[in-house]
Amino acid sequence: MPAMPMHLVFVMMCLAVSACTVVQPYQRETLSRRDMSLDARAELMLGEEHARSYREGSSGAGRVRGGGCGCN
Amino acid sequence: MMAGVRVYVLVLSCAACIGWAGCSSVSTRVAKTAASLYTRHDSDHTEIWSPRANVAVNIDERAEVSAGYTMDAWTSASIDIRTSATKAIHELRHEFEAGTSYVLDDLTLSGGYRYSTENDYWSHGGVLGAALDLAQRNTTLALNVFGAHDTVGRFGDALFRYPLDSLGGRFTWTQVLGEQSLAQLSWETTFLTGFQESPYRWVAVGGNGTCAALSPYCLPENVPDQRCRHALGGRYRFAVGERWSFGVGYRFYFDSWGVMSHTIEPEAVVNLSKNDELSADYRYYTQNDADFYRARYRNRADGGGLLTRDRKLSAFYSHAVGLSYTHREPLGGDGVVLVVSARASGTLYEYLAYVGLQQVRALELTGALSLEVP
Repeated sequence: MPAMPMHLVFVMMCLAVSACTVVQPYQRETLSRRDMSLDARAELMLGEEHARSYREGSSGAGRVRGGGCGCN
Repeated sequence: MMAGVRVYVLVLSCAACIGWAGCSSVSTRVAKTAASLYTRHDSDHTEIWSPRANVAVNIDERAEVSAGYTMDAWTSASIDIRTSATKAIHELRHEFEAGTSYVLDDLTLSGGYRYSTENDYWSHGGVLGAALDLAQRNTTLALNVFGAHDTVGRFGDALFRYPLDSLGGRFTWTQVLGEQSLAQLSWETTFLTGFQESPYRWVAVGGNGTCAALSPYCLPENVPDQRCRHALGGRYRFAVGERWSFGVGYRFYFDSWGVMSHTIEPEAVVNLSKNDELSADYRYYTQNDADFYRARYRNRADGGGLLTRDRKLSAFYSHAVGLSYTHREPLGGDGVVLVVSARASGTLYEYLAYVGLQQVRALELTGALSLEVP
């Protein structure tokens, strides 16, 4: 896996952010809807994600939390 | 079955506590109380019941503290257990957690601790986080650092105690892209060192690959003591009209053991009414095997001296579909809302190189009740 230089990542982030429109608070009616949350249903998914984390060989960059044995 | 009844009674007790907390919430500034019950049943003879309860309290306008409890009650006679010629296993795991957060204008600081205990595994974990809002809250950058100290034991063997430590970090960048869309990128790295084998898992060397049959050797699992895991994730969400929204997530994972995986998760949500929401999601997951994994070890040197029969380290893929429903019922005029949620999902696992198991079908059900106080 080739490592990407950190300064290149930073420049890409700056370019991406500057390309985005700044949405004002009064324009956020749609974004403030509950179904537009990136973590909607996170509580409802906790059990599934916990069980899944012990059935897949990978974890991370998800919402999994909690510890315990990998037995179940 | 009795375990299920006991869990059901426990959940009802939790719900009663939540009801009490919710009723007194206006004066005690309880922000949210919740209880849920998760259950999983699969074709590999494993059953899990997991009730959970948590409460969050606002200390003032900036600070919040929370506490929670989760129990896992599981019964299994899976292929791992059957091929080791042992009986079905019943176990309980208890997890306690506490957390806090503090808002400083555009900066939110958070911290948490959890303790998990079962008869052969104990885990202490902590997390510290900071989230910074930028560009009139169009951009949020968040950094979390987490660590855990686990002790791995073996039932019936008081002298068997080995440590497993982990330390990691996660960086998340959330960006509003327009009035109806937003995206998130995340990068997570975790370093683990210590005992990462299962103390109960044995690996056949020679023979047909299982210890239940005649094999020249049947040896304890042996995997590297260290593992470095990396995951890159991206999520995108957009609204269509006033009722619909769609999301898609992708995650790429790789680690120092040679496991690499891809996950794709599309989702659609429809607001049936002001208080009712229905969502449908699909998840595809695929991974290759670890460098030292073999379906059948021909001899002790076959995996470079390493041995495993962990299906998580074998090549497989899975398809999962889920359906969630949420209803919000306002209670009185104080803004208190009762939220009732339910979810059902089904998963099909296809193992490509695991002796004795090719497919597992799983059904998962979750029900949740919560009270939200403004």
